[in-house]
Amino acid sequence: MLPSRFDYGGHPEDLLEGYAIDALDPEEENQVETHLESCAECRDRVNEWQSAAYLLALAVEPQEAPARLKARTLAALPTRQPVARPDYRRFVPRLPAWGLRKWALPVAAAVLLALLGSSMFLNMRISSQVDQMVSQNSTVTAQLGQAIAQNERLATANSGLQNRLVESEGMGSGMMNDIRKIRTLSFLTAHPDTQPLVMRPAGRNDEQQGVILVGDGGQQALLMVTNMVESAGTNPYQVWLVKDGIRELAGQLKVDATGWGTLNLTPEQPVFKYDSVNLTMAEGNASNNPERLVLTSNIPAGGLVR
Amino acid sequence: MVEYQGLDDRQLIERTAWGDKGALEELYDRHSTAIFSLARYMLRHEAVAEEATQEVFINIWLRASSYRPERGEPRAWLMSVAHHKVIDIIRAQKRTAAASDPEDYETLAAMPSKDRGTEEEAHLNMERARVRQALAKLPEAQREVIALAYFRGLSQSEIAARLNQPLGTVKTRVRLAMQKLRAELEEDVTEPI
Repeated sequence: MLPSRFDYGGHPEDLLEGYAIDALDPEEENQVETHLESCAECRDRVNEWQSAAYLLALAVEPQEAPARLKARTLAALPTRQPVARPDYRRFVPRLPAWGLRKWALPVAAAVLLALLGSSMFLNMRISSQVDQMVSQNSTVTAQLGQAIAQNERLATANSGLQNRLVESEGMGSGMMNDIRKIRTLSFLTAHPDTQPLVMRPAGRNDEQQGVILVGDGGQQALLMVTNMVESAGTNPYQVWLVKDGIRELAGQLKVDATGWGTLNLTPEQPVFKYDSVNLTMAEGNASNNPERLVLTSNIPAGGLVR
Repeated sequence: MVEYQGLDDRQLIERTAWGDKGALEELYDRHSTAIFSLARYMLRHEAVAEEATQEVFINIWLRASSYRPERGEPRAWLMSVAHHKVIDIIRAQKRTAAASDPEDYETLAAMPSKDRGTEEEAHLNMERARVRQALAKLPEAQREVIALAYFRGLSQSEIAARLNQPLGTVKTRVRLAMQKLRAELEEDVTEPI
């Protein structure tokens, strides 16, 4: 058992070089990795050592891999796990299957025959009653016609009023969304703990830019993008948070005609628990077309080091 | 249509993290020789090295999202993933006698690099010669621990037992060797030959 001196706030200084060249025992390796999760200073030092260590690999005389290995490797890649979606199947009730084959079907057939016989008798009685009701119905129908005509006049007037109401509600809702975004932006900009994550273009269009202001320990975030291609009405950009190769849809972003768009992010976990954030757009106009990665950013574990 | 050849390694790793097999294929084309060579040298067995190389690229495929550009260049990360996987295999094999011959790394430091054709290969040849020179300049005791640890997959405590030296001495040798290598190689970068 190692002396766990760095449990008390120290750094495992004599283990970092060994860690960089994979020369620690498993127990030491676990302790260093636990320490690195919360120590940016040691992470930087390990990175420096690893940058030197990998050069050792270059000392080896090069030998090309057999040509067949490439196809074999690509064929062996496991399928990525798709975006986690709710399992709706568990809400569908299961039909009981017990005993059905043995006795339920014959019993059901007998019951059905009995019902058929009685229903024929009932049908004859009901037919005569229906004839009486038809004659009464014609009187009621005439009265109803007059009422409908009157109602239509009122409905026309009402519809005009409703259209105006919907328009004003839409304007109000849009304004409230804008106000919420501005309020979030002001808060995040002013707060000293807010950290910016810069999103880089994934392709060759360097003009597209994005930044995420992350506040409240990663619980709250606001994405802003600029110089983007305007998103078509039914085909907005998608924002994904990725953790261990599994992506989670964080929201959909609309970009206006000026190339500007904003989105409040409220992820399931704090933003800094994820590995990366990506912005994609479907190629073409159909939602089932392949996605194109537009902007991307790695998320530093535990937030940016200041 | 994405032109993968025009993308740098960082962009390819990011695309790989996103599940783009074309990006991984381009990474394979660029780095499989270095990774296979390291695996072949460390494992001493062609078929096992092939298996290791395949597993390295599967790891890259699955772990690409954990790459952090601010923590180092992509090639260092790729080779680090490769080295870690090969070490895992060596340890799983419980270090067979064939894979722990201490003489070979000595020849590595002294071995001249074979000349190769293209400009890129010429650059790699220069890098290889530079690293070998740096290794050759280390005191023998330090070179020994680096070779046993990095190329043979022994932990520091196993090296201490093997060399009959205190663990602290081995750790100090590893640290000094790494410091010297780093200083030597960084110096060479700033002052090209």
